[in-house]
Amino acid sequence: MTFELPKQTNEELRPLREGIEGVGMDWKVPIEKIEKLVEGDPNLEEMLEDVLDQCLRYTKSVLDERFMLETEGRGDEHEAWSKSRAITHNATQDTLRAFARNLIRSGKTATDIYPLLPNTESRASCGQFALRLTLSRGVKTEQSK
Amino acid sequence: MNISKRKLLLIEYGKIVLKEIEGVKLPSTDSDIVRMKKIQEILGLDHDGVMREVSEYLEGTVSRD
Repeated sequence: MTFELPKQTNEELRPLREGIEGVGMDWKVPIEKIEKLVEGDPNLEEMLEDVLDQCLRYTKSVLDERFMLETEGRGDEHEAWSKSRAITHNATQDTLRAFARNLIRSGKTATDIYPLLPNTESRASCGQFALRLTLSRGVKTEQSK
Repeated sequence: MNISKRKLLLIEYGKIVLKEIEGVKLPSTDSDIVRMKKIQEILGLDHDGVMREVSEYLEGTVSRD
């Protein structure tokens, strides 16, 4: 059995997502709020770890691809890095979709979830979210010194 | 500073931060921290400002995936 979000959800919840997607808003993802959402559920906690790991992999792939482009220019080698980045992007979207689906299954409402997560049907939103989530962890780490 | 040089500094900074996030596997070295401070100085931004710019730069490349 598959579970799909109601079709109207994306439009209705757009204002709630602006904290993540909106221009000029704080770019950092409130990781502690996402952690709060999964607290006490070992399966969701594990899925959040997977999300963090996958977003980190995606961010690395973007940095590697950009580095290759800026230093070597376009060519066969850059093409290979670019393909790798695209594959990692797809995996990131799948991971975020599964996480959102399981949050809904666990009884969380879309109003709980979508101020914090991106529109998982949008490939670009998932990519941007993954970068922000990972880099937000970097801010946290630096501030904790 | 030309745009390409700035992008390279942002990429370098991002890579160091990722190493820091992966701390358990690959601890940040003193030279990494010194380099981060140097990049902040060159760009005229604090850590948060550099991170914001790294994020904006990388996000701007997402639609090309």
